[in-house]
Amino acid sequence: MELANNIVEINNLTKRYGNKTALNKLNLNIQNGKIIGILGPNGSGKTTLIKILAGILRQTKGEVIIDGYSPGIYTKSIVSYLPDRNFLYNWMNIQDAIDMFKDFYTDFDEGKADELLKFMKLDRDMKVDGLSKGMKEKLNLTLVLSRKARLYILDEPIAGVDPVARDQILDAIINNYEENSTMLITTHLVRDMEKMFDEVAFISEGEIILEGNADKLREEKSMQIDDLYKEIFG
Amino acid sequence: MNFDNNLPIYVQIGDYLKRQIISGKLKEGDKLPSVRDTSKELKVNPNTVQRSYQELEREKLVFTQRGMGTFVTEDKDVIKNLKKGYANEIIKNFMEDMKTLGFNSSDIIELVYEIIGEEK
Amino acid sequence: MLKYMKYELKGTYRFMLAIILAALFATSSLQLYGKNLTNGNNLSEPSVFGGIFIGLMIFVVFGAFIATIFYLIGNFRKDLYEDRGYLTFTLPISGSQILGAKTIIALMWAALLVFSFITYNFLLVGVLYGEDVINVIVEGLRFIANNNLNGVIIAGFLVAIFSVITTLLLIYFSIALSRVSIGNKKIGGVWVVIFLILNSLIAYFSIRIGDLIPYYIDLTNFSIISESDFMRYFGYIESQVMGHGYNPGMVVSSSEMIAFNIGSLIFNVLTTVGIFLGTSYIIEKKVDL
Repeated sequence: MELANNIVEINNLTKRYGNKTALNKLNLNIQNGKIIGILGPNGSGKTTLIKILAGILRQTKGEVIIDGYSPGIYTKSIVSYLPDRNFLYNWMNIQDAIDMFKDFYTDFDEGKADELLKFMKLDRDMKVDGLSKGMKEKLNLTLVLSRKARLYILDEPIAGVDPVARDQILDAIINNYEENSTMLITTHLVRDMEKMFDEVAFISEGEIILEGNADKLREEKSMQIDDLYKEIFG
Repeated sequence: MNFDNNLPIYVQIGDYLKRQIISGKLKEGDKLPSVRDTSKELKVNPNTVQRSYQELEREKLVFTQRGMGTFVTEDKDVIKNLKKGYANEIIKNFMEDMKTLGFNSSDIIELVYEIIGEEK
Repeated sequence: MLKYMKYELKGTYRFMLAIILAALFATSSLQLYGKNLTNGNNLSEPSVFGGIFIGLMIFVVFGAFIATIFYLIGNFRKDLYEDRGYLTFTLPISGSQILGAKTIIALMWAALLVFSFITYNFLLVGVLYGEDVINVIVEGLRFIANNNLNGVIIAGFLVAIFSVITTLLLIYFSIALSRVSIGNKKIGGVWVVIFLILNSLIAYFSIRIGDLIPYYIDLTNFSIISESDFMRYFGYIESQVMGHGYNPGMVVSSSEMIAFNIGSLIFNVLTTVGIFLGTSYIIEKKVDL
C-alpha cells in the first residue's frame, strides 16, 4: 500500500473518557477510491473513531491525517459526514437545509440533490421537525450524498429504519458513489451491506482486530463477511 | 441477485455474467452493461464489478475497446468451451449425487433415457 | 460569517418577532388601561379584573425581556449540548465565525427589542395624550442639544453597548468552559457559577489596574485627564465618594464630560477580545460532541 494513496491515515489513536478507553492505539489506513466498512457491535468504538475523523471529537493521543491535514476547517470542507442522529436544525424545512449545504459546501450539487429527493420521495417544503425517523435519515443521506466530497463518512446509515427505507438508502449509496472518492461506512448490520465493501475492518474494544479486502477475506475464510462477523462477535 | 454463498462476490458476478452469455441473453459481440450500470443493478461496489470484468477478460470471454466499452467475445469456440465447462460441472455433480444414492453408470443412463422418453 | 448569520437569523426570527409583538401588545394594553383610568381629570379606582390584567401585562413585558435573554443564551448553549451541534461544528468555518455570527445576531435582537419597545411607547404616548407630551420630549431633546450633552449621551450609550457585549461574551465563554470541563448536561447550570466568578475577577482586576494608572480619557473630546484635574471638576471629597478610596473609579461623568480610566479601559477591551478568542478556540478545538 503506497503512502500517497491513503486519504486517511490513523496512527496509534487513543481516546479515553475518564477511565474508560474508547479507542486504544488504533491504526488504520484508508486507500483513496475505496468503500470501507468499519464493522463492530455497539460500543466497540466505531462512532468515537468517526467523530474524530469528522472533527467534532478530540483524541487523547495519536494522530489522524485526512488528505494531508489534521481534522479542521479544511478537512470539514472535503469530508461529507452523516452522523448517527438528526443533525439538521429543527426550524428548517428541506429547502432551508439545501440552501445551507449549498452556501457552505462548494462541492454541493443541487441537481443531484433534486434527483435524490425525488428518489426518496421528499419535497422541498417539508418541515424537518415533522419527518419520521426513516425520512429524516433519508433526508440527511440526500444532503450528504449530494456533495462531491473526497471522503464520505456514513455512521450507521441503515440502523433503525424499516426494510423499504433500508433498500432505498442502500440504492442511493451505491448509485451515488463517485468512483474516485472514498467512503467509510460503519455498521453492525453486515448482511445488508457486505456486498458494498471493498475493504472491511473489524473493530472491537477500540482496536482493529482484523482488516483486509472483503473478497479476499471471503476466499481465505470461505465464509461471508456476515458469518465472519458472527464468528468474531457472536 | 443474492450473493449468499461463500465465494468472493467478484466470482459470483462473473458466474452471473457467464450464465447470461451461455443462455444467450448476452450474444457474441454484444456490449456488456457498463460497470456503473451493473453495479447499480446488482447493488454491488463498482470496484468489485470492475474486478469481475477483468477476470472475464483474462478468461478471454469478453474484450474491452477503449472508450467503447466491454463486449462479449466473437469467438464461438470460447463460448462453446464455457458452455461445455458448465455442462461438465452439472453432470459431474449429478453423477456424484446419483452414486451416493446407489446407482451405477448404466443405471443412470437408463434412468435419464426413460425421463427423456417421458418428456417427449 | 455572513452566511452563518443568515441561518442564525432564519432560526431565531419567529420566536423573537413573537416576543417583540407580545411585549408591544402588553405595553399597549397597559397604556390604554392607564389612559382609561385617568380619563378627564378624575382618577378612578381600578377594578379587580383590571388589577389582575395590569399585573398580567406587566408580567408579559418583563417576561419578554427575560425570555429574550434566556432564548439568546440557549441559542448558543444548544449547539454545544444538542444534536444540532453535529451540523454547526462540521461546517467548514472557524469557531470565531460561529461565535461572531451568534453574538451579532443576539445583540441585534436585544437592540431591536429595546429600541422598538422605547420608540413604540413614545409614539403611543404621543397618540394617546396628544401634542403636549410630544412637546415635552422634544423639549428634553432640545435641552440635551443646547447643553452640549450629545457627547456624554453617545459615550454613555457606547459604554452600555460595550458592557452588554462583554457580558454576553462572558456568558458564552462560561457555557463553553463548563461544557469542556464538565460536559455533563445534568449539571449544566455550572456555567452560572463560572460566570459569576469570572465577572467578579474581571471587575476586581479592572479596578486594581485603574489604581495603578490614574489617568482618564474624556470620551467627549478625547483629552487626557489626570487625577489632579478631578479636583478641579469635583473637588477631593466628591471624587472619593464616586470612586474607590482616592481613586475616582473607572467611569466618571458630569454634565460636561464622561471619562474612563485608561488602564481599566484597556484592560476591559483586551479582556473582551481575549474572551472572544478563548471562546472561539474552545468551540472550534476543544468541544467533544
